[in-house]
This record gives sequence, C-alpha cells and structure tokens, in this order.
Amino acid sequence: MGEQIAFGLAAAGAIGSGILVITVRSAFQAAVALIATLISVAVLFLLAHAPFVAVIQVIVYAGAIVTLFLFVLAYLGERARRTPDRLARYQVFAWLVVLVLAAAGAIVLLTTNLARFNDAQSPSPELGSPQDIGNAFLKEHLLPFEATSLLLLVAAVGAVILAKRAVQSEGGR
Amino acid sequence: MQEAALTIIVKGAILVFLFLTIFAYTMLLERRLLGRIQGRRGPNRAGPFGLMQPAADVVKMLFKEDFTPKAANQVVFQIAPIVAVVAPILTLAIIPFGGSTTIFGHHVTLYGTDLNIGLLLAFAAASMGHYGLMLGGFASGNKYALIGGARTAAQLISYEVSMALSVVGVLMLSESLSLVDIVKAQQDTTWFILFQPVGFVVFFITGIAETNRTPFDLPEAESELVAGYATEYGGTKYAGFAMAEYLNMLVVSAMTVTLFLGGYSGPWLPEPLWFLIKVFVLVVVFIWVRATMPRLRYDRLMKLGWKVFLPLATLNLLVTAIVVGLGFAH
Repeated sequence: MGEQIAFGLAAAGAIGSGILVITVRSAFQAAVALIATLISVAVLFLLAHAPFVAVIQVIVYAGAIVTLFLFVLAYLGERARRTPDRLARYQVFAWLVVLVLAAAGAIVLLTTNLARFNDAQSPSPELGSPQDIGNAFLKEHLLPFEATSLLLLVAAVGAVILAKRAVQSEGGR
Repeated sequence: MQEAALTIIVKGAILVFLFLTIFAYTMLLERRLLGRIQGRRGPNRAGPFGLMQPAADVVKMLFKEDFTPKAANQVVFQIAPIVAVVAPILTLAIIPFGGSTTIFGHHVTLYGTDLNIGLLLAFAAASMGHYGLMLGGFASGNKYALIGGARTAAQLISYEVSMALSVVGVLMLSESLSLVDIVKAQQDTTWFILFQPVGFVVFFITGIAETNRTPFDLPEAESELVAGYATEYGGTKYAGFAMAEYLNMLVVSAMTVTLFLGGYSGPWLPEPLWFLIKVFVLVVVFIWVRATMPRLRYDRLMKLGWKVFLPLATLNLLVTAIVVGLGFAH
C-alpha cells in the first residue's frame, strides 16, 4: 500500500514537472522543473529495487548536469522574453513526432500481456546492488564498458581542444 | 534483524532533535572560540557562559520581517532555504553512531538505516543541498546573489570530483559502500587514516570547500559580494541558510570520522560518546581553520581544486588500486 502511494506521488511528480519543463517560458524555471523530474524518476528506480541506479541518477543527472545548465544560465542570463521563437513554425513536426511516439507506446502497452508480469518471480534482492552492477561492468561486459570510457575521454579531450582554439582565435591566451 | 516501524520513527525523531541542538551549540562554540583566538571574549551575556545565546538568536531571527524582493522568482525563492536544510538532515539517516544495543527489551541499532549504497546517498544528498544555495542565489533577482550562486556552482562541481575520488581508496579497503560495513572493516584492521593519509587530507579539505567556509567562502565573500547567494534573504529564511552551513559542517565532520577515523569505535567509553568526541575535535579544527586562513583568490581556488587536489586524489586512487590488486592489503 505504502509502495503504491509512493509510486503514485513519484509518477505524478515526474509527469507534472516534465510537462512544466517544456511549458514554462523561463529557462531557469524549466531547469528547476527538470531537477524535480529527475528526482521523481530516481524515486521510481528506487521502487523498482534499483537503488544504485536511483542514486547515480540523482548524483550525475540531477546533481552535476543540471548544475552545469544553471551555471550556463547564470552566465548567459535569461533572454526568454526578448528572443523570438525561431523554431515556432516547425512546431507541426514536433507534434507529429509526439503523436507517432504516443501511438507506438499505446500499441506496445495494449499488445503486451501485463498481467503476466505479476506471476513472474520477484527479482532477487541482489539484483541492482552495487556488487552486481560492478560484476556486470567489469566481468561480463568489460569491452563495451572500456570502449564507452574511451569514447568519453576522446570527447572530453576534443572539447578542450575546440575551446582552446576558440579562445586563441579571439586573441586570448 | 528487522526493527519495528515505531522504533525507527522514535529513533529518527531523537536523531533530528539531537542534531539540531548540537547545531545550535556548534554556532555558539564557533563564536566563543573565534573570540578566544582573536583575543576577545565572544558572546557571554545570555545565561552562564552565554549558553542561552542560541535561543536568543533564534527568537531574534523569527521576529524579523519575512520579505521577498519583487524581482525574485517567488516560488524558488521560498523553496531554496528548505532544500539547503533538508539535505544534510537526510544524510543523518545513514551515519552510524554506534553498533546495536538493547533498550527496554527492544533490539535497537544506533544508526538510521544500513544501505548498500550508503556513501553514494551521502553524495547525492550533498549535491541536492548545494541546489539550495544555487537556486537561492539565482532566484533572488540580485546581481550579487547571482554571482554568489554561479560561484557556488563552479566551486562545488570542481571540489566534488576530488572529494568523490578521495574516498574510493576507502571503498577498496572496506569492499563496501555501506557506512556500517566501513566502520566494521576499521574495527577489524585499524583506522583508515593510516592507510589513506592522502585520501583523508583531500577529503577533509574538499569537505571544507563543500561547506563554503573560510578559506573557501567565495560564494558569500562579504568584501566583494555583500553576502553572496544570501544577499536578499532575511529573518527565518536567512536562518535556514546559516543553519545549512553548520549542519553541513557537522555532516562533513561525521563523514570524515566514519570513513577515516574509525567511526564510533574506541575503548572504555560508550560508542556514541566516542563518535561525538571525534566529531567535536574535527569541528574545532573547522573553526580553527576559519580563524587562521585568509580567503583564497578565485582563480587560485579553481587552480587548487583542479591542479592540486584532482591529481592527488587520482594518484592516491591508482596507488591504492595497485596495492589492493596485488594483495598487499591483507
């Protein structure tokens, strides 16, 4: 019962703040709503017995990434009211994509036998624990894991080089 | 052993009450100690030795006018101090104050809960707490507050990386993220500060930076930014930010004790008392540092974070990994 109440609150929070992210005019308010969305989703992960993913979601996405958004917003300032929305005339495509995605989601939901999942065995408590995830990353899927880290390193180095070139072209250091 | 829901609620209430009381007296301790270090007496008029000073401060804060500037973002401006205060209290749930004991025939563990992701939860709560300061600064509609908020964001991102890396050595030695297991691993061997001196130094100094205290208090540097992110705050809401700073200081001290100084373990005295003594010592160090060190310049602060602490923490991590990997740890 308690779990269902928690799920209801978290799901409503995720959807409500998710809608706010795309509807509020001010970028600052959208970022704040985004924090609420990410935390609600973290609660959903927690309810799905995935505490590690939930905490990482809060640290990396809600913690670090939105902080960077806010940092950029603080430096650029809010210009929401002055800039005209240049993408407004392409709105129809956005709505088309939304409709297609919603239709696809509805089809998947309706054709899946959801009741079947209730009969399935509940997952072992070890599933989703830090040890379990560590073993999966460093034993079973070592190669993709290392390839991803290499890719991220290349991206980071590339970003630094591009930024340095931009600074030099402006006559900076 | 599972505990009754009532036990957990009572335990939580007692913990929060104790924590908030200790916070009030940490503030008094800081003012008295700063006074002593600077050759003056500090507040000593309210009650014997000034012991009623925290109560007087609270009454004063509560009766101040509660205003919101016109340019502020009304909702976020109200929420920000609450976020800042709630986050450190959340961390309290996972810090072990002692082993387990029996009270009135009930089995009671002297920690809120033992999570297999404990340490990560502490980091998550800390990063949520930083939002309090950042959002408060951004929502104020004031340029000093905005600069304070932006500085908070930059400083916390820079120092959080080194802080997280500095504890990985501890995790390798204890082979667990649970704070209870980390303390038990130290009872089996010895305090981790002996194996991880570099980790300890990096963790504690970045901890001072994470609490925005002198010499890392650039987000509220009064000589340039009035009061930084808290410029537009007054009364109860300002008290929230002041409270968050001291609560964070206590949480960082408690985490340092748990990770590096053997947690609650110690001879003769009861376990929670040992814990409090160790935390007290670290809090005094915090205050001592504030009285001694001048504020860093902003570019030096960034250089210190990225060019000194990050390489140090990474090196510490590498060396520990090699030592543990080769099996020298046992």
